[in-house]
This record gives sequence, C-alpha cells and structure tokens, in this order.
Amino acid sequence: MKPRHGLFFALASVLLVSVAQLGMRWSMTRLPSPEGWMTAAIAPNAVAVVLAAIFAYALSMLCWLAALRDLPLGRAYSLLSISYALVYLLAATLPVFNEGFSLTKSLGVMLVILGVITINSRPAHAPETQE
Amino acid sequence: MSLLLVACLLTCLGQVAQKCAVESWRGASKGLAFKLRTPWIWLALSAMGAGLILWLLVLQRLEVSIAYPMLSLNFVLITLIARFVFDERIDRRHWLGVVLVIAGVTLLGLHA
Repeated sequence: MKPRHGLFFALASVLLVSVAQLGMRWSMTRLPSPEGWMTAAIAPNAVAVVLAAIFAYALSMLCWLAALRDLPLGRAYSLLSISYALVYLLAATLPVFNEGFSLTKSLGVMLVILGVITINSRPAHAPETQE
Repeated sequence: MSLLLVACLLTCLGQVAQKCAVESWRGASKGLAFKLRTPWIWLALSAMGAGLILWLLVLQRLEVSIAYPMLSLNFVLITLIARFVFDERIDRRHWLGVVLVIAGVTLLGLHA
C-alpha cells in the first residue's frame, strides 16, 4: 500500500479529465453535428483537439485505475469532485468558452460537490471499506 | 437531456466493469497479456467508448460547466444499483448525499 502514490495518480487524473472535458467542449462546438459529418466542412484543428482530448481522457482513466489500487474508493471519488469545480471555474473564466458565472450554476455545482463528498465520506467510527 | 442520461448509464456500466477488472487483477502480477484477457476490461472499454461518443454529442449542445457536473448522476445511479440490485444497506448520510447531488443537478438543469 502506497497511499501517496494513490494521491498523486488521483490528482493527475483530476487534471487530465478536466483538460479533456474542456478540450472536448471547445472542439465539439467547432465541429458539425452528426447529420453534417459527410457534407459539411470539417476544421482540422478541431479534429486535432478532439483527438488530443480523447487521449487525455484515456490517460486520466489509466491514472484513475492506478489510484484505485492504493486509495479507498470513497477517498478517490471525493478527490474527483474537485474536477467539477475546476471545469466550472475554467469554462466560466476563459473567454474562449464564454460560459459565464451565474448564481444557480454556482449553487448547483456546489451542491453536487457537497453531495459527492457526503456520499463518499464515512463516519469516523466506521472503518473504510477496502475494495 | 436523454442523451446525457444514456451517456451516464454507459459511464456507470463502464465504471462497474473497471472495478471488477481491477479486482480480478489483484494478487496476480502476470503482466499486461494476462490483464487483457479478463473479459471485464473489454466490457469496460466498449461501454466507455460508446459513452464517450454520446458524451461528445452532449457537449455539442450543452455548456461543459453544466454538463460535466451532471455526470455526478452516476453516483445516484450506482447507489440505486447497490441498493436494489445488490441489496446493500445504504446509510442515512449516503441518502443525504444523493439528495444533494439531485438538487445540484436540478439547479444546473434549470440553467440548460
């Protein structure tokens, strides 16, 4: 058991998955919808970004698998909820995404994160189930 | 929205299969060839592949700051599966978390 390795892989997974989500959103808004895949012009840089994003996503999965070998599932999932905040903050602040902050959205993301942490935290007296 | 739900279901299936894969690897240090022979990893990969394609189509329509946190519906799905399929006991704290996630996703949904 090397929990510190687990923590490193979990954080790497969080970063990679956040970058992947942003990359996918950026590229998919620049690509035609499925009806147009045969006919419409396809921007090569958007294709490059979507492929890179899928690669980052796959890499995050590998880091996730590595993290799960060392960390209890509950702890790992609580860490994953950081990525909801990260994606929201980046999508709202970076001008290319133009998604903006709003009270309902912030409250929604906060409730989701709180919920995920609540689900995955164990009461102090109960031992963490080892998967 | 239904696209998002199906993507969630596939991700959920992929995650359960992934967990089964890792568990079947535990204790066996037989290298990559052995690992690739567990059927769980193939179920996980195909569910995730299909989920990924649907997810890309979701992102074409929905802002990522709204769609991505909505993926936490997975925790709700997994809880329901654990409770009603595997008959696991779910404590009160866990249900409270489920309610929080559903409330958060509902707020995000109002925005979509």
